[in-house]
Amino acid sequence: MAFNILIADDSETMRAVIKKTVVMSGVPIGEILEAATGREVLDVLKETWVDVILTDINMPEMSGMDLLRELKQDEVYENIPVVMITTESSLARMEQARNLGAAAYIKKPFLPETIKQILMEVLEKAYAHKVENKVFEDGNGVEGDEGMDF
Amino acid sequence: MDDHVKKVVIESMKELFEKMFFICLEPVVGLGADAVESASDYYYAGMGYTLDGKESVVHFYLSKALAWQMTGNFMGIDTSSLDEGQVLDTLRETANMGVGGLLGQINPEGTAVLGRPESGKAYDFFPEKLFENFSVIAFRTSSGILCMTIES
Repeated sequence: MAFNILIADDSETMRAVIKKTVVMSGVPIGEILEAATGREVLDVLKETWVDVILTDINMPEMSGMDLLRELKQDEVYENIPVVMITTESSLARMEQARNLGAAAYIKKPFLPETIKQILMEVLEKAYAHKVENKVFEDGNGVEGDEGMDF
Repeated sequence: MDDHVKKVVIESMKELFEKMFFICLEPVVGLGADAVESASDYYYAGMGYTLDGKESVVHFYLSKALAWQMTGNFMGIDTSSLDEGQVLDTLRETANMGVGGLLGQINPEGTAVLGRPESGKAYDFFPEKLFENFSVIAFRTSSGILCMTIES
């Protein structure tokens, strides 16, 4: 299984750095998409299915928080895990992101290892969720834990 | 700027530069304007924020060599392959991370409102004026000097 990953940040260099980190992480990648604003994320989602979104908070037009709010209100997108990667490091801001449904929160400055670790954890959790849904829909158990094929 | 804020600024900037740019910042106390060579070659980055109804702006002035070296290290490419747009983008992100990190420490309740970061060539950089009028935090690096002030 390969994952489509969407990176949203108004800084082109930051997107390039995150993209490089993701590529080097060993996560199986289908496509890496980019957006400079929350609004652009919504435009990308209309065209392409995305498995996880890594987004900044402080972006023009539509902030990462507004984006998160919008995604969680949309039944098509509500289950896409959203990881906030941001300079806004106050506990209150993290709590707000968690309450809105963010899957994880990474503070800038970050170490590449942190992005790798959190991305893997988030994808593992999302993948497990899909397996559970399958069990529920089929009415049959899935033998063993297939886990992630990283 | 009180000593606590100054200490937080120094620690958060050191962490930022070491983690993201692989550059060691050495805080320098009592630096004078004469330490700044070729002031016309400096870049500027800045970002405002509002905290408890009070507006402040954090200004960064740094040597051209340092700005290009940071960007090269950040992107993992040689400085000869960079363009100035990438440098200015990295400086805006530096201001963003510097201010965000600072506010995370001094405003844990998260009530501060961040502005948009700016960057450019420091056409208005006059070291004598800066060192006389503001409480400057200065760092020495292997690629030149970084100066910071917080204007309230």
